[in-house]
Amino acid sequence: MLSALLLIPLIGSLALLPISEESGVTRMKQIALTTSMVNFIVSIVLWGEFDSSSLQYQFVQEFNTLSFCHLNIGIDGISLYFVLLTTFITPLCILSNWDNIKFGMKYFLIAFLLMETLLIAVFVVLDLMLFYIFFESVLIPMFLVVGIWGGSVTRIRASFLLFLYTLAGSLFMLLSIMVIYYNIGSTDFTVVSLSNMSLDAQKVLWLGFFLSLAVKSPMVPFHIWLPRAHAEAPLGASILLAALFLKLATYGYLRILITMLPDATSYFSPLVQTMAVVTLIYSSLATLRQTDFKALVAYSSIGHMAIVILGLFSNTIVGIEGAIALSIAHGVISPAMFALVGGVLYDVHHTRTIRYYRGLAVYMPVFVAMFFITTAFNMAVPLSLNWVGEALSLAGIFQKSPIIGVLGASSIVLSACYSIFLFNRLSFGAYSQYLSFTTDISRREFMLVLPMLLVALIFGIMPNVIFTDLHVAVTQLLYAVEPVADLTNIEAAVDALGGK
Amino acid sequence: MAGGGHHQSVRLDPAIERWSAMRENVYQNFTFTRRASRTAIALGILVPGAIALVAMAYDEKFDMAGKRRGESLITGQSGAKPAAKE
Repeated sequence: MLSALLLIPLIGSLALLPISEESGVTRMKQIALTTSMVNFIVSIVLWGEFDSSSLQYQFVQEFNTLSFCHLNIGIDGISLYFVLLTTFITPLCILSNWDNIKFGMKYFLIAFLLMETLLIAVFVVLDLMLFYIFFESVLIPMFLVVGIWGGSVTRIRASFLLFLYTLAGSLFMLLSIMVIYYNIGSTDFTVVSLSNMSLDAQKVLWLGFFLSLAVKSPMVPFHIWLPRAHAEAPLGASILLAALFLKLATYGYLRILITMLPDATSYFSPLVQTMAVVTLIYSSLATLRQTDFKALVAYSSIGHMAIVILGLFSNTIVGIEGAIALSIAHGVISPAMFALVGGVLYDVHHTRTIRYYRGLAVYMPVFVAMFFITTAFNMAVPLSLNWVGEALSLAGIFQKSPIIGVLGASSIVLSACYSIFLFNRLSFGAYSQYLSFTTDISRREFMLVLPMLLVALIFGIMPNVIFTDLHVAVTQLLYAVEPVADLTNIEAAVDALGGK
Repeated sequence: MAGGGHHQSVRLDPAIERWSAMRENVYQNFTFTRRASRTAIALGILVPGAIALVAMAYDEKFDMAGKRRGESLITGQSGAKPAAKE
C-alpha cells in the first residue's frame, strides 16, 4: 500500500505529459487533482488499517532485489500523520493555483505531483541515506517552482536562498551519514538505533545532523531563506513549504537525533533550548515589524516551529506528542493563512503590502469571518489543535526546564500580538482608499480553506484520535520497549520464558 | 475567485511603494555603525549567552512530579518533613 502512495502521483504526472497546454489545461488540472485525491483516499485506508498498539513498523515493504540501494519502506505512528498531512495538503495546493498560473501549467502540476512522491518517500523510507536523498531532492522542484512561477523579480533571489541555504546545511548531514556508514556498516534505521556509539562520536554526528535540520526548521540564525521563499513563491508552493517542508525537519529530529543519538541529544539540550527560545522571541518580534503579509505569516511559522522544537527536546512523552500535534496543526492552519492572504487578497489586488489594505469586512464579510477563525487558531486558542499542541509542548519543556518553559510561553502573548494586529489591520476600519469594490471569497477559495479549518477544529476537540496512534511510537523513542514473548504462540512463549 | 475572477489593481501610492521597497531592501544598506554594532552584540551574543547560561544551569534541575508538602523541588533532594504529631 505504501508503494501505491509513492507511485500514484508519479503515474499522474506521467499521464500529464502527452497533454498539450494549448487545448488541455482543464483536463490537466482535473487529472492532477484526481490523482492527488486518489492518493489521499489510499492514505485514509492506510490510516484505517493502522494498528496503534503495534511496536513494529507497519506496511513494511522490502525491495532487496535493487542492486544500487537497500530500499525498505514502512510507517509507524509518527510517520503516519506526516504521510496523511502530505496527501491531504497536495490536492489543496493544486486547487489553490487553479486559476492563476498563466503559463507552463503542465510542468507546474508535474512538479507538485513529483514533490508529493518525494515528500511521502522521506516519511516512509527506513534508511538514512535514502532519507537524505529524498530530503534533498524535494528542493529541486521547489527551486524551479519558486524561480519560474514566483510573484516578482525578486523570486530568483528567493529561490536561490531556499536552495543554497538548505543544501549547504545538508552537506553536514551527508558527512555524518557517511561516517555512520563507515563505522557501523549500514544506514538502516533499526541497525543504527541499536548500535552502541560512544558519547563523543554521537556529539560530532549530532552536530552535523543538527546543522542541517536547524536550517530546515528553520532556527535563528539560519532562517533567512524562509520569509523570502514564502513571500515570493506561488500560493501552492507557499502552502507546501509551510505545511510540509518545515515538517521534514521535525521528522528528522524525531527519527535521527532523538532515536539514534539520544545521549548527544541529552547533552546538547541546553543548546537547542537556547536556539529555540531565541528563535521564538526574535522571530515573533520581527513578525510585528513586517510590511508584507506573506512575510508576516512566514515569520510566524518560524516562531511556531520553535515551540515544536522545544517540545521535541523536552525528553517527555507529553512534550513530544504535543510537538507532533502542533506540527500537524501548523501544517493545516499556516496554509489556510497563506490561502486567505496570499491567495484571496493577492489574486485580486496583486500587492502584498499591508499598508494598502483596510476595512475588508465592508465588502468581504465571509472572508473576514474565515480569516478570524484562522487567525484565532494560529494564535492557539482552545478548541484548536494548535492549542493542544502548544500547551502540551510547553508543558513538556516546563517539566525539563521551567525557566525555559516560561520564556517559551511568551510565544502565547507574542503570537496573539501579531495575529490580532494583522486581522484588525486588514479587516476593520474604513474601506481602504487604494482598493476598488470587490466581491467576496469565491466558492473554490472557501472550499480550499474550509477543510483545513475543519481538521484543526475536529482534532482540536478530539486530539486523542491522533494521540492513540502516537503513544506507542513516542514511548519507544524515550524508553526501550521490546516484546518479551510472542503471545500468539503460547507454547513458544512459555519456552521463551523458561518453561515456567 | 474573489473579485469576480478579475484582477483589480490596487491604486498604487508612490510613497507607499518607495517605503515598502525601502523596508524590503534595508539589508542592502546595512553597515556596522556604532549603534548597529552595539545592538548586534547585545542581541546576537549577550542575550543568547544569558539564555544559554540559564538553560545549562537549570536543565533537569527541578522535579515537580508527585511532590508533597515540604519536599524540595530540586532534583535529588528529598527534604521531606516528618508528619505533624497530633
